[in-house]
Amino acid sequence: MTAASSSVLPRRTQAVCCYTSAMDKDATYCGECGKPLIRCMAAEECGGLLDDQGLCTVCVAPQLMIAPGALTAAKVGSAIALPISIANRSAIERPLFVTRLWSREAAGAWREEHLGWERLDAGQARPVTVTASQLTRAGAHNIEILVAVSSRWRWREESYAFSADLRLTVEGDEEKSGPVVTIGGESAGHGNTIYISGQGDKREVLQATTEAIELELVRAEREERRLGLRGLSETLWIPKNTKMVWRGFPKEDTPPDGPILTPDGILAVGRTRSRRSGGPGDVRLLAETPDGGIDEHASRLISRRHFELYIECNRLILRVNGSGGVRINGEAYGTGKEIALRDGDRIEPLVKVDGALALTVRFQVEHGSVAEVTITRVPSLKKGG
Amino acid sequence: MASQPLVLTDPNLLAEFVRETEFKAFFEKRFATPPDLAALLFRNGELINSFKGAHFSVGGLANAIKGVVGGSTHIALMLADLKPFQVQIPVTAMSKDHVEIAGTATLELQLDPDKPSNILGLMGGVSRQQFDPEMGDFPITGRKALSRIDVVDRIAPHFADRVMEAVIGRMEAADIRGETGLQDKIQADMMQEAERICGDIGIMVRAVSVQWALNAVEREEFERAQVARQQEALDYQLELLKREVARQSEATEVKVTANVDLAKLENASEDELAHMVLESEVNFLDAREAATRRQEMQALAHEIEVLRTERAAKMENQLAEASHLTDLTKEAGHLRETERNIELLDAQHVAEMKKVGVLTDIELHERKERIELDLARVAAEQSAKNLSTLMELESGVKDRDAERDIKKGNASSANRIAESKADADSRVAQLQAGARMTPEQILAINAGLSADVADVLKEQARASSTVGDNAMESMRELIKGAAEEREASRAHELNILKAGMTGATGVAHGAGGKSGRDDVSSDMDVASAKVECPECGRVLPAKANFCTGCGHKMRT
Repeated sequence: MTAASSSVLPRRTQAVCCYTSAMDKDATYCGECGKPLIRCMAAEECGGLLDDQGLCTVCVAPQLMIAPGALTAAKVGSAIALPISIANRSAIERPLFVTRLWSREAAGAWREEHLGWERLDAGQARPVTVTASQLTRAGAHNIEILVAVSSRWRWREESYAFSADLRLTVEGDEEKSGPVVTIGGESAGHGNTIYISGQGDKREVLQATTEAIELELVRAEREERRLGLRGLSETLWIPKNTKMVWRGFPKEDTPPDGPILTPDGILAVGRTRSRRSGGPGDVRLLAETPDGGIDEHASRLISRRHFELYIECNRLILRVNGSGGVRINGEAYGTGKEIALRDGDRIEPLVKVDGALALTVRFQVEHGSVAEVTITRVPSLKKGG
Repeated sequence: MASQPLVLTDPNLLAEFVRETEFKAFFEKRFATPPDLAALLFRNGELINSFKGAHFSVGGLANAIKGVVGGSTHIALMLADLKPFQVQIPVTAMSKDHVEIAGTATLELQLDPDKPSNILGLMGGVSRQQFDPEMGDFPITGRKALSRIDVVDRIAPHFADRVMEAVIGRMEAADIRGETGLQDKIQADMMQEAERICGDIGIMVRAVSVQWALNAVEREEFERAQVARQQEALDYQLELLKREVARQSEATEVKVTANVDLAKLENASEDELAHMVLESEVNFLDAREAATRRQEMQALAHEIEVLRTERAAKMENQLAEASHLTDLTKEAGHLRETERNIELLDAQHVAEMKKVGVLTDIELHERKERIELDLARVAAEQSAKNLSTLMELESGVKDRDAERDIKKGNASSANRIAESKADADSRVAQLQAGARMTPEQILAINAGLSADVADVLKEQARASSTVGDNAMESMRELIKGAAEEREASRAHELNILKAGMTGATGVAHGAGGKSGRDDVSSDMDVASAKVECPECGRVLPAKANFCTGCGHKMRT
């Protein structure tokens, strides 16, 4: 493979051993280093592993370039339009969606730029213009560009923000220092040479680039949270490797405590048996009679795949699948609804039977990041843990 | 080396040649002119350039050598002040009513900073000759400087008739003071004149104001006003005195007592009366005090009358208000009664209507009302639509204008973007070249195999199976196999290295009867061995450190 084409290879974000282990599609941990293998939601298509910040470098590989001919220097009081192009460098046929674009000068307020398009197919580049508004002071200005992109897989979407810096030189209006006139002479006032320096300094103030310049894009996780692209709030987010702890369930009805490691990253919660018991589900929910037996009537109201739990955009999402719906904190939600769960939420899978079965959600937070989510079944099953 | 500043020697000077003695030195000298001074450089009497803020390096040994080679040249430097300056000139003119008007015109002038060299046009009679130290004075042929006075002398004569006389001649002397329109006119005319006369010699008039002296008409007016004010004061004093006398006469009452007969007194002539007074037959007694008392009593009586009238009127008002309130209460009572009657009648009417079955009519009426409402709604919608169409049309025109502006403004950037497209396209082509990879290839490459190996494996997988899914499975197996093989070969290399390292002590090994070959084969056996995870029962290669199913640590 040539050097040029190797540039499109995805960035490797995990140890080689993890990729080797990940080739076994049922593997959930690396056999070599024991690290959990957290796969991209579109792993079926991209085969990618997420990095520690939840980014799949195979699916999401945007590239920002300044077009040749763009101005990199301006005069005080002028405005500058920077023609840039955004490319999707994904190595596989995964489209990328550029949802929003902002720019700002130094630490000023973000200014949203108009984007007339959204979809970028793999290998495609599309142009957009960023305008630096009136530059009122001379000196080196920093123009920051913020791009919000999304990777979509079926109904799911992961959004990210990347930022890039661009330096712009702004020339002042003040007069340049005067020339130096050298008057040579044998005696004072009677010379033969007059040398005037500095007069040829007619610099072109507007400098233009001669070739495309690639700008380094870096993840802007604070901006992601500030813009509401990821996380529950600016100070609270749930990473993909958050440990899920199950309380009040029989051991065989839940996956082992730990991150969500199913191939598609989704935990199916419902009436069917869990994978541990050889079924197709992940968490088994059955209603119980007061004497500890199975309440068949109430359990029949729970669908086989009643709802799904997954982490998307650093939020724990509950997606309702069952026809009976789900009640969260007393409010009923129908099929297809997606709700971001928060600390202290109470999930009631039986909408019509009040208080028969509930799951409570508790977060354990470390520096804004949720380290552990405890889901407790109420009432707890007697044989449960 | 620090530069010495070159400045004008006198604040009244506008331009000045730098004395050549300044340049005289064996070593190199450096001078600098500030940016508010223009430095005009002459060589052999010819202006070669002008600078605003410059550094000059003069003399020195190196330059002297160049001078020997290249011959000599006369160099002169003139400084010209580019800051605005103020001059005052006296002005006189005759007004429309033939009064002499005088004043002082203040002019704000400036040398044209864009054309400082034009100042040479003002320097008629100015010589660049040296100051003669022996004579102690400038030579009569001219001076080396231009002062502000020179500039005023040059332009002032042009203002006298063409501006002042022309403008003032149309005004009455009394109307000149405080007339800003007149000041503006004079300023404009003077600017025009200055432009005509000095435009090409580098003088600009920035502002003109004239301060007027007192003219004859104003002086007369002033004196007249003064006399009038004095007369007015005297009149006022007279008025005061008159009023005092009148008060006195009103308050003065005289009682006349006479010793003579009343009939005689009545028939007496004026002279006789005077005689009687002189003889004290008739006496005047001052009754002023009694009159004053009477006047006071009259004033008091008047005041009492006023108060009484006021009280009576107030009382009357209060009475009227009270009766009005009573009437209103009565009226409100009537109104409530009438309302009750109307409600009763209404109720009766509705009941009767229901009995007779006229409700259908009411329904018809309601329907009619509904139709009317619908019509009104349709009309409102139509008018709203018309209005929006009109607004769209207007905004369409504005949009087109704005679009044209945008097109115009973006013409250059569009051009640049077009230029960039070629470059971007070439990059895109590069991107697309590598953008057709399968997940297996990605996995294989990430697992450390080269892309070429991944391609070969892919082809092998395709050859070994016809069904798509099986191909993927085969691909996975092959990649896994290749990765493991690579691991095994690495282990093998390590073993060979180990054997080489221990070769020196091979005898000892031989004595022990051990062979490296046995070790390798036992390694291979280990690699092919399988173990079961005690936690989840998953079958794993024996060398696995962790269970790939549950993460259980297989080795301690």
